[in-house]
Amino acid sequence: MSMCATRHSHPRVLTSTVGLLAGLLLSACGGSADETAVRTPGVSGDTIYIGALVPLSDAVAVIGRPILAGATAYFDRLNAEDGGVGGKYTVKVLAEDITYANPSSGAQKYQKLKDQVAMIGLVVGTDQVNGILPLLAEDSVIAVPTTFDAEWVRDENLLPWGSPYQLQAINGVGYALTDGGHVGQTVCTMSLATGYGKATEEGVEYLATAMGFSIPVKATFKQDDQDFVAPITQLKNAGCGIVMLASLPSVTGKVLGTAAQLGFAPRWIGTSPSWHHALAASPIKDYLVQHYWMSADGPAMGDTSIAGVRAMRAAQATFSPGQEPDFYYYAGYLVSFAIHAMLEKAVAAGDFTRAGLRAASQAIANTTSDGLAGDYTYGSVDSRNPPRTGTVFRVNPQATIGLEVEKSGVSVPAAQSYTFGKR
Amino acid sequence: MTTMLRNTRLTTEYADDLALFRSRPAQAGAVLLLLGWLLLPHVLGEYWATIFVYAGIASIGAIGLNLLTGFAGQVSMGHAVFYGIGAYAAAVFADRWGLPFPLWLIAAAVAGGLVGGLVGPFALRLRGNYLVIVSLGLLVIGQHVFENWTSVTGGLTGTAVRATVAIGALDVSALTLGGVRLSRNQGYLYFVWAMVAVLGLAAHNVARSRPGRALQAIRDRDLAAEVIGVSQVHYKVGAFVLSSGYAACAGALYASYARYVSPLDFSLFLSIQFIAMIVVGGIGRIYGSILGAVFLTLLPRVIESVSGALPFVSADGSGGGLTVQSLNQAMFGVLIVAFLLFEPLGLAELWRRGTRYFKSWPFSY
Amino acid sequence: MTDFAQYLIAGLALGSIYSLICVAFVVVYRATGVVNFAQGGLVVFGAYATYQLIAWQLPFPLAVLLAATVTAGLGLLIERFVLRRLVGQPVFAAILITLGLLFVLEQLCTTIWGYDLRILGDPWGVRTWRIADVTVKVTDVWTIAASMLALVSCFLVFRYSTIGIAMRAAASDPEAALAHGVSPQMIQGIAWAFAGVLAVVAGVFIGAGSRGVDLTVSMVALRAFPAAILGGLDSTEGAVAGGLAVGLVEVMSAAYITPNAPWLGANVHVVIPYVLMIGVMLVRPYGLFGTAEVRRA
Repeated sequence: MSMCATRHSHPRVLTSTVGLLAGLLLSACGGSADETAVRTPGVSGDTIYIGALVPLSDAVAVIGRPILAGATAYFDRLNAEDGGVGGKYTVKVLAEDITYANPSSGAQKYQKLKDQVAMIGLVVGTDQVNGILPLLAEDSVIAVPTTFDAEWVRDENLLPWGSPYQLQAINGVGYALTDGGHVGQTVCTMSLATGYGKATEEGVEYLATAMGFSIPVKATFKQDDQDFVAPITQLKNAGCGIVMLASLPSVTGKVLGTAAQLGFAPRWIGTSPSWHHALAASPIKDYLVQHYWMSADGPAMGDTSIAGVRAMRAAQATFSPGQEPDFYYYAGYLVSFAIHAMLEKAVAAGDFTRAGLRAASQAIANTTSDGLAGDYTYGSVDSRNPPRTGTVFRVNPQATIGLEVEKSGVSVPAAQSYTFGKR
Repeated sequence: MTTMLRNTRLTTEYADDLALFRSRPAQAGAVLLLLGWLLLPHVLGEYWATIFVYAGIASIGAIGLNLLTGFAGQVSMGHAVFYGIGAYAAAVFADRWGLPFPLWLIAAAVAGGLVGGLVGPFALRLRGNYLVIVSLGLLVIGQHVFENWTSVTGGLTGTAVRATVAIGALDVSALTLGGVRLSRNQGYLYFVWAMVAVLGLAAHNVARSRPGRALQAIRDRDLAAEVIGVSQVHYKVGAFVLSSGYAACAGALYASYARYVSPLDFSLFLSIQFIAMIVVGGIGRIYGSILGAVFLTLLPRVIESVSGALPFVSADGSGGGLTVQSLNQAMFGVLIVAFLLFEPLGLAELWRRGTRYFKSWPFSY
Repeated sequence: MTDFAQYLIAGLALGSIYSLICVAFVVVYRATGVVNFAQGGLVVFGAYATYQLIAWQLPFPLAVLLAATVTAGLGLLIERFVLRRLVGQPVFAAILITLGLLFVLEQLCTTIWGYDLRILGDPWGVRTWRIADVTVKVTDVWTIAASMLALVSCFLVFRYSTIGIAMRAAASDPEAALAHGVSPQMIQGIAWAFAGVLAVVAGVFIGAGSRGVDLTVSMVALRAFPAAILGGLDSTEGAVAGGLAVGLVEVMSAAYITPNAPWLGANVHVVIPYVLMIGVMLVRPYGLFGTAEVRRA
């Protein structure tokens, strides 16, 4: 009896361990990617899959969700009305939820997606893009960064689009200093302590060199700062007449509320991520109407005289009715023009291999978006040229997402001369 | 009666007690682990290989924290800082100074250990809750340095890192096995888990020898320990050095694998995750840290793969309700709460109870 | 001089918000010995709840009152179903549990209210008074008043009410208190409910005017930790003093150190309270007002 038990006990532990291990292996096998589509991953039959790495459930989901909704609506409309890319290929967006504040989450999800998709269509977050860059190079995968960083322009694994933050800042401040009626006023910056804030600051610095002025105050702040009396007082004391603001929706109200309360009323020029439509219904709406501009690329979201806007609003009404057509939604929709153009080239060439897609990314001549944004010149990496014109918006609580056009087609000389380096 | 005695091999010598793998099942387990290590890279796809690499790196960091928390009784929210120091040190030593492997890895671990040695004495005067929050201060200061020491860290936008693991022609990112070229992920899977084994055994040896016992004495009653001649300063600072060295080593491996690091990588959340790993895995058990790290790294991925079957959850939250990530975050919280309430000794205790059940079968104890 | 006065008011107002959070820390700590990392979750829940009730057309005071009741109830639930089971666990267990609760509470809020910025709809807006050359925000005055009220009421409750005396008794000797019929469970429940009420008050001031409510509201609680430690975790007076001190230090360093010492790095005002805290800790390991723990071998 006792011997029996002794003999049994060890094999039992063994069997249980073996069983556990085998289970682990099996489940892992089940989890591994389908290996059948190795040659042209992401294309099966008449469907092209594109990946999206977007934050959908953290503090940056306020940006990630509309971006994804915009891109999805674009392709849903394309599939439903035009029969997909080249009239034949249905496009499906496979979204993976990432955590903005954790760059390795993007890299992990990239590994999950890469064998199932033809390309990565959306990546939100400068750090996230940086995190996957080495992986993209290794796998020859093309990704479309959904942030406007000047660094992306010359990277051959990226398909950049839209006007970089640097250009948005140059055009916004440049317009204010010339036709905008703030000639000769002191220019300052106030930016979030992130890569995005730095990019905006760089734009103003470039303009300062080009136009020969200096920037007395470059205030910075953190996303969880609660009090802005000190930086606002600094800006006020330096006599800033124009302040370029790079912020996020949760902070903009605090910054501008403090400015309004302290009676500091310069010309505020915000980037597109600084704006949220709820601000147009906040207690500072009158202050915003008078003193806030937004510098971005593109038309007013309520201007249905433009074909592109009409199409976007129609797609939004049909395919993502719950979503406000804010600037993030617009960004997601707009980025899809570049993706679409690239996929058309790949379909025309009949080549969905990694190399074929990379060739397609450089075969696009330029994209037009029915007036939604300036044309982006593509071609080879070295000849890429982002749209250098911008639009300045003013606040109107009655307008769609609270913004209407102050001046479109803004393009100051510095925006034309700004050069994009290779990393 | 006799069954009980014969079930477990009798320890007749002190050496038996000291043996690393004491019983035959433990020896068999070690063999199986070795087999698993050899096989896993070939059966996991690229994605799961990546996840297991991260789990391995996290294991090393968690072992380090367990040495500090489980043995010395010091809870630190600053672990992410040392992990970050290791990562940036790898960038400096390997990428800029061109030190070869394994020199850059050792140097990074030493750098982390040194900073740990500088910080350790500060913790000596503090206890319990106060120490936790002061270590939160360490984290805030560390992040500030990461964000502002641009020449070393690349500032807010971070820095690309080239820290290759290669000795001569043997490059982990391009291993060949029987003529078949392994992918980078497969190579790192081998390498990282070999490191986990080496560092885990090393930690185990520290824990079961004089320093480990001294630390436990301090943890349980520091004054009493001091009375019997255990120097608090010596051992507590030593625990900080060792724990930070482990964290820095993990950070250096992370930088080498990810090839890009930014201050966002080393947030409060990372520190919390490390604490959660050792709590879920088992405080004061070295293998518990590994169990916890693997469990918490895999859990969200597993939830994702089964979430399709859950009615109230969607990948992107499009149908209303929870997103998978929300569920993950909430589950992370719920699990911590559940483990602390119902199994404070963690997975390691569950494992021990499970194996004991089989050992003493058919008796219940 | 005008600037300095301006900074002084801003610092006091910010400090008052920290005080409100710290008093909540202290109340829970005194009753249960737990450092409550979930307070940020209660604050963001309270802010959203207030927003929701205002959006349902309730008058502001009623909305705050009702939100306070609901959040107090949430605090009670947390105590009843989670913290009560934690008796006798080590320090990190309690901390980690409250961190776990923080994650759950945050996801609860996003599941109910989504991710968009919400404008709270308080009656103060961005109105200001001008006294000499100094601008005084109406919200700031209310914030300072509310935190003082919280301090005074805490003081009175702890000192004179039966519940307060019971709380002190339970904190100083749980067994003796129990023998006199003081239920520690009831005491702990009351403490958590009170933390919920304070969370709503703090949440309202954090989200007031044009500031808006979203998930980032919960981050403020982390910024308040140095204040709690400075004052000492078991002293309400310390919590208020620490909160005000940290608020002032933060604003003053943003005003005078950040622009004049660029070599210290951007946004050094976030770090200085923590540096101050560490400095104080080295001299007084239990905070300025805290009680030193008596240790026996």
